[in-house]
Amino acid sequence: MDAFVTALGLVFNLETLIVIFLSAVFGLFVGALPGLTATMATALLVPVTFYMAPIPAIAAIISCTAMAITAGDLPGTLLRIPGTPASAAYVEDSYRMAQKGQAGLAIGIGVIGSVLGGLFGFVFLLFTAPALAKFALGFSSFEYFWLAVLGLSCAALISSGGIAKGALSLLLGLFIAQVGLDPLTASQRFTFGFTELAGGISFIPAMIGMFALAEILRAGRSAISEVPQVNVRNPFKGTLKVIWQYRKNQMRGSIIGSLIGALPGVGGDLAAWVTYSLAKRTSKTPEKFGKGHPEGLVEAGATNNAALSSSWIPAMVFGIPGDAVTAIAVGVLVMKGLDPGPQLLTVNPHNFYAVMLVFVIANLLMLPLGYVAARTARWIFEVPRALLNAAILLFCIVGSYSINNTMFGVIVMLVLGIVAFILESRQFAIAPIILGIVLGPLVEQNFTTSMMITSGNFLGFFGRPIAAVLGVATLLIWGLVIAGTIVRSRRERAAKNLANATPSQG
Amino acid sequence: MKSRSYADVALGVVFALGGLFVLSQALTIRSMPGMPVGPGLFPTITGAAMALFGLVLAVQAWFAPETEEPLLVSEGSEAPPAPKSSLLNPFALGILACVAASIVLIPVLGFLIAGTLLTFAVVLISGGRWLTALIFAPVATALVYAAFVYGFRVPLPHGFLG
Repeated sequence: MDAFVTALGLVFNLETLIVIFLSAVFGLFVGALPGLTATMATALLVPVTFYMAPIPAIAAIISCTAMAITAGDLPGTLLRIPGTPASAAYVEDSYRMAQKGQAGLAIGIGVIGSVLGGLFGFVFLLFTAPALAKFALGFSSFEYFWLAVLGLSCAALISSGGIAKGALSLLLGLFIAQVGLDPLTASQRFTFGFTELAGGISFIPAMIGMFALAEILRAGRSAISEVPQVNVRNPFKGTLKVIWQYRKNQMRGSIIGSLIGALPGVGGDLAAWVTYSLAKRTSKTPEKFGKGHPEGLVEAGATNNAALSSSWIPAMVFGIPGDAVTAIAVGVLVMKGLDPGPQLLTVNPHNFYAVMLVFVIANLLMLPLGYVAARTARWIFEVPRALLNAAILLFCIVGSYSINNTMFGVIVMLVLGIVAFILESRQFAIAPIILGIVLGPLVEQNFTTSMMITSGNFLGFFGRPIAAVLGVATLLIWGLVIAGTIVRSRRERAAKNLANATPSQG
Repeated sequence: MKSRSYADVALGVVFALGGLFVLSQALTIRSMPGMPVGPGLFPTITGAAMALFGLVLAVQAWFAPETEEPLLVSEGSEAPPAPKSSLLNPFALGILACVAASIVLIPVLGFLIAGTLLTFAVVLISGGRWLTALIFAPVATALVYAAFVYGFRVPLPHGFLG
């Protein structure tokens, strides 16, 4: 109880509340801009959190992310440009609803569904995380090593470009994390005589380059004003009635979102796609999906924010983020001395409760800000791209510079921005790179410690029951995915050969 | 457009060579006497795995049946406006040149002057008008300068202004 009272004091003070409000407005603005994502909003905010106290810093990340993801529904609904990969799952329905004059209803379902889903995810997080943390207190370096490898493996294997590209993204991140002083002996690795590299490559300029600079390069100078726009007259009107009508979808979306989001390394993007297709399969009117039907929108919208909340479970309990945004958040937690792990919940529970309170405030704030955003969406879309590009780029440069007050941060941002742009244009996922950078030191430290304990015998990694289960699960996932890819590739080849042979026979 | 993915082959080769380089560097890191592991072990594994997966990617892309050129699918870009997929266009090259120039110019000219020039150039490159750029560049630079210098106490370079 004392911890909760302390947490109330940490959150309900002028500084934190102002930070939450301003971050939410910032997240809403960036998230609502077509082509700019929630990850970019979070990446741009991190240099600012560098100068804040721990709780306001993490509050800024939470409220910005939650708002940017919800605001991502606006360009999806009004312009058919999904703001996040998750909102791409139901963009066809929301856009067609807008074209039928139901833009307010579509946005209302998105916002209110997200609030309800987010609050459900919060309750799930509130009850699950402390129990998991107590369980995790008995973990040794073996369990942490396997858990981190499992999370990284999931992130690499579920990425869209295939196993090889996912694994290479991850390995690139792990390599970047190794540059600098070795944590074991403080000997220099991959510094090539440059003193700037001795301190390692900071994840902040790396992340700004990979998400913000690469996105500017991708979005280009294209204007969006040619896309027909719709006025939102009565946001939220009739929303509660529709959500009540599809209450089962709302509940199921929240539950599945919470469960998928809680898996280490998986994150929330996948969850909305899963629940949208589930809603379609179990619907009485599946033929209406994709034609402006709210059922899938309710379920996948609820999933979005439920997964967002529960993706903090592995991030806070084990220090293993679920996606790029929580990877950034874990980086901020470490930067602020709030090392994620079971101790965060057991030794310093006031920090955990404070984070929980921020979740509630950020979710509730979505209602008034979502309403205002829906009414002003048209103006937000009309902000000239030229001015946005210039302002974002200036901010990227100053943000990267300010980490160590040297231009080296800007060089890192430039190089990794180019690398990310090239890789993403070939369907390499960027999130595993960030996860690799953030989790690299944790994986290496636990790997080295475990190797020392077992005197270099790798079989010793399977010596403890939970470690053995996690290790076998990791190897099994890799085995299954590789076998599946080989079988699929053979089938495709056989089908192609058959198709080539058929005309010549005929 | 139908084509074999030579870009993937090239990237696979680059990663394989990069992995071999990491591996060769890692093998030169001295381990601690009397210890089963040293600071070079994890980089060795990373380098070897990178070389292996790079090779896999190159071989996969080389032997893959000819398919439709894949479209770029990224966050927030599934519908118009079409995202850029090559750096070899005036906009991307211009933006990169601006960032590179800022790395050189900010320490010399100071943030206020170099930042204004950078912002001015980016507005023009992004299709903005001269007058807009002329008004926006100093205002945006001054606001960012004020936020970081007075708000967050970041000592941004003054250059020759001292």
